[in-house]
Amino acid sequence: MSIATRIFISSMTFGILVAVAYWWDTREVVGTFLLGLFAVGFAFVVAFLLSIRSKTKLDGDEQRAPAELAGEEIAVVSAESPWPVVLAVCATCMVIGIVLHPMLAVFALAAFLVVIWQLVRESV
Amino acid sequence: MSAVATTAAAPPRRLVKHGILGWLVTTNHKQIGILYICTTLVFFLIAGFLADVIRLQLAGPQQNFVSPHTYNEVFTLHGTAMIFLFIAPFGFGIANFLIPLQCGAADMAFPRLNAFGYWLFLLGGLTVFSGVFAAGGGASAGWYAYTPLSDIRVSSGIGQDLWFIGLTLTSISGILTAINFLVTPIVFRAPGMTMWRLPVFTWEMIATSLLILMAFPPLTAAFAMALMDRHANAHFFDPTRGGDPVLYQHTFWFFGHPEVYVMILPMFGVITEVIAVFSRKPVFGYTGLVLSAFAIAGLSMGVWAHHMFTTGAVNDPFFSAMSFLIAVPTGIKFFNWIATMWRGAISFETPMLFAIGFLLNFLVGGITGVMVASPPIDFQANGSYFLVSHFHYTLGGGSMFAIFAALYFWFPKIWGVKLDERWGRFNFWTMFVGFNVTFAPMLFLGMMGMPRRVYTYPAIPAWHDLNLLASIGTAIITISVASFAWNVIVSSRKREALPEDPWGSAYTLEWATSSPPPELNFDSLPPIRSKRPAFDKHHPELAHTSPP
Repeated sequence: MSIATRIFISSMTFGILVAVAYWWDTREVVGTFLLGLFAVGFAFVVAFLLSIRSKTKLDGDEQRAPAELAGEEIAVVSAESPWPVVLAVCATCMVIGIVLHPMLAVFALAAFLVVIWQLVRESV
Repeated sequence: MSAVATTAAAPPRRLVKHGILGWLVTTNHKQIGILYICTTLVFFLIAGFLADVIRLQLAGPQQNFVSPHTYNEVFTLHGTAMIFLFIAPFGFGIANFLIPLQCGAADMAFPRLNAFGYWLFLLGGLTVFSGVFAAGGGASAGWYAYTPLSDIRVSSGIGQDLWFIGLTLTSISGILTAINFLVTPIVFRAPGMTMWRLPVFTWEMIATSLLILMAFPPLTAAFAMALMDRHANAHFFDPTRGGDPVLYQHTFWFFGHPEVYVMILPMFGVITEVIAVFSRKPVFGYTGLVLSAFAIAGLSMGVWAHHMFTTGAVNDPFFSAMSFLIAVPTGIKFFNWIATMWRGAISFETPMLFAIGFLLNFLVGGITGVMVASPPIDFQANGSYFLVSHFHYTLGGGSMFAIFAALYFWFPKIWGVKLDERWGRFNFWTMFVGFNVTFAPMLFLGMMGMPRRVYTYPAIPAWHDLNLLASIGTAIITISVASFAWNVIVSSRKREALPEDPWGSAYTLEWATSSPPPELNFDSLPPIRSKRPAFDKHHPELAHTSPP
């Protein structure tokens, strides 16, 4: 089992234990629900990691790096993109607009969707 | 997922842009890290200026240096900027720069998401401060904006709205950034860099990221509910319509206490690396340090209501016991740091001085923290200057000293410039003296009963003397920060080519590449056979001493 999976299993177990302890001590619903929710969230991650276990092999998990890999050049890099900053401006205008002026929110939402589309196009 | 980071694929397509446009469109983790660091330092300067205003107002009794409303705005924005816009995001900046380098990857797992996170953070911070120029002024309900202080009846100005909106944006930014910090070290490690060889700093960021993913969504929910109360006639927190103001406190502190560890866990990582390098020994108790980070992260999720003992609406024994328990993994870290130094060939360069300053100040913060985790003491100390001193020793004495340690330690790697040691020592000693002269008197002021957040105070001689002392300390801190800025200017003028490891005994992977690193981080990856790949590369004769 990978260390990442163990991390999430430990976190999930801890979430369950604290939720149970909290409920046992306080009988308070909201806090118990929130603490339990984390355990459920981690359970999803654990389930995902276990489901892809057989298909996944990470170079980083090699205890001893094969000689032919050491010294290899790293080649996968990201290109610059104008869309993250534009998307952030749209998101900011949208949230400010929701509170201060609905029309600003509407225009920002439209722009937001266009930028998301551009990002998807750029990414595939 | 296999071999994604190191596959010798087709040559990368890059449209390298320079100047301002290059910074606007960059998705490179190192540039984004630098943007974070520079932005947070600007917010730090603003927050520091606001601290000076607070201390000028409180230097003597019955003063009117600023108006009462302005004073409320000043301490609100001081706390907001320090916590949301400086300490935590500074950790994001350093982590952005370091995590791919420490893992042997070319970039973050999701570079565009990373860039989006930074811009959202910047715009969120600017939105918070833009409230100052709005009608009615900026937010003035304190950094945790309790209702009813922050509701539309008490804070009717747009400034409070912009505060909620800005921090909602920074909260979302934090969540997006945490996804990158979690995925990159798990998936994008170089061959040989197993999880148990990752540097402690990267492990601390993994624990921090889990905390962010758990703790930040409730904050966003709390702020959304507060905004709906203000503008959509909702009554989540309005007791006259069946709402509950204590619900806001619950949701806020459900974020708020883990946030303390979002700020401090990265700094624990910084201190671990700095102490090991300047003690010239491998980290003592690597596994204990890693597991204690997760123990702290887990326990911190169950202590939120120790901030609410005085409401009388929480289960004191449960939250008190959980709060006491956090001292155990924190103690493990402390003992491991001391054991790392034990019988080491310690040298006292500026990063090490700041690391030792961190240990001393954070110890005071930790011990006073254990004290206020006890409800009977908290009932006395809550709302007094004792608490102000406690959390400044934790976050100021802890995080700020670690931040300066990080700046001095990684400055050569990030900018290719080694900062001047003489100015560095001046920076440290003035910071250490100034910090303790400012915040030690506040412990006594709190025990004498001086409440926090007061605009002014009666002319009680003991209060006056200690407040004046605290204000003098703040002036010394200001001089110290100015000396750091001067150091940067002076040292940058003396720029010279630096080796990969200018400290001579650094060991994590980022020290096995040039200073500053090339665009793709490594011209070629060194073999990774132990927890100290850079040390093994530079000192092959001592490679057998490195833990596997």
